[in-house]
Amino acid sequence: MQTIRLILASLHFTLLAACTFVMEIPKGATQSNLAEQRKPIKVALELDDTFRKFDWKYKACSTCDTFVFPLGEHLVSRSENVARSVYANVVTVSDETQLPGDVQLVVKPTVVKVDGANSLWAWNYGVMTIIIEWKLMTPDRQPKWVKAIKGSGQSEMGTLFSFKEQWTGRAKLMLDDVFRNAYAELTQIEYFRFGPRFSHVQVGQ
Amino acid sequence: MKITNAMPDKVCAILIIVGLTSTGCATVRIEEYGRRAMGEQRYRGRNNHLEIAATPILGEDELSKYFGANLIEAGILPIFVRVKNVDPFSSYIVGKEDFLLYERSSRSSATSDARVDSDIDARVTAASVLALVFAGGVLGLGAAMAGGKMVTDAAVVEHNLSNKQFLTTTLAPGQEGSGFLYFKLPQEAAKLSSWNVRVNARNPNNNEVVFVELPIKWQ
Repeated sequence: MQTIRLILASLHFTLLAACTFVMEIPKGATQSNLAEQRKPIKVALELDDTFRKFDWKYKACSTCDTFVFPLGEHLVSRSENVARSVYANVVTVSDETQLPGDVQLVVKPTVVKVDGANSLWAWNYGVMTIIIEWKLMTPDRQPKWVKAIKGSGQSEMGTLFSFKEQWTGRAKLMLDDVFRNAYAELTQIEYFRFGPRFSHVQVGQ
Repeated sequence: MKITNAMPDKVCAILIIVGLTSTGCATVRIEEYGRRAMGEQRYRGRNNHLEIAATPILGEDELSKYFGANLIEAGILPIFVRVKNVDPFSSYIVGKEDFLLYERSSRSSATSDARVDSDIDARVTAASVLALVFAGGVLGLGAAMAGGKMVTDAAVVEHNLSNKQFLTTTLAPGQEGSGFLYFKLPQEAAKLSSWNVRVNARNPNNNEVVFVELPIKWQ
């Protein structure tokens, strides 16, 4: 009888204990443009530690499991990829003290928010959304262009056996979407409005 | 096939589960608000630099349709705004923190104590929305799964709020930006009748701030 009580007590605590799961997101494909399609501007892509180490933690309730999405490395590689696809000359820096002297613009992405909504049922859809603010500044930190860009990923919730793949797949779709939108926005900026140094930069591709 | 007494019970149980999943237990459905052009907005105003149009969402049906919850009951006023740059030469940067809502108690008082913050604390919003969803949900659901459904409903409602929100943008000449602003109403909001929405926009080339004000009748 005592053994049964011990087993039941152990089971009880096992069920109550909330776990933490790290959700590894699949890598995205890289995008590249021909050199002549890139903007003839030298930019410093400023990626601070908050951006580089950004994790999104999801916990549905105080006693529920925690799911950690390590987004930082994806944000860094994808930001560099977008910057190198849009601009002819890109240097990546961690903060303003590392700016090379001949940089014309500082491009700084910041995560505003990551958000998600799930459903109870395997065949219903869940959605993940990220908002990244892109700020373009002169080397003396005067903002010239700011835009918060949104991206979403949607997929079926999945069963007990497939929900992790579905969820990380959703995160990948979200990142694909937000950086595709960022690329579209950065190529469409009217750079000639930034001043005479940018008068040679054409709008569009 | 022999029909036993136990079978109708099993069939009933299956039908009840199917019924619950297809109706009451399905995740809350929220509609898109759409782009809604300038001309479709309830209030409009402009100067030489900017044009602004706004529509506050006040009706219970509309709140339920576009937000899945009665935000007014939670002390949150959603206003759809659209801003257009009508200046042919300059760009302007506009963010949600550049909008103000304040009581227009007299013509001379441009700003007053009734001014409220447009940047709602995310935790306050989540708690208010969760409370609303729970209040509505407990009446209709007695099953154990109700707790899980309400948590997912609250997440859907909260996700929808941020998804429809006005996002910081730079408007080149002729460009427009739009989205919802969520103002946290003061306790005595029901007594107030006339409000102003004000947007401050900054020209990035000379740091000049221009603004437009829009009177709104609160009914």
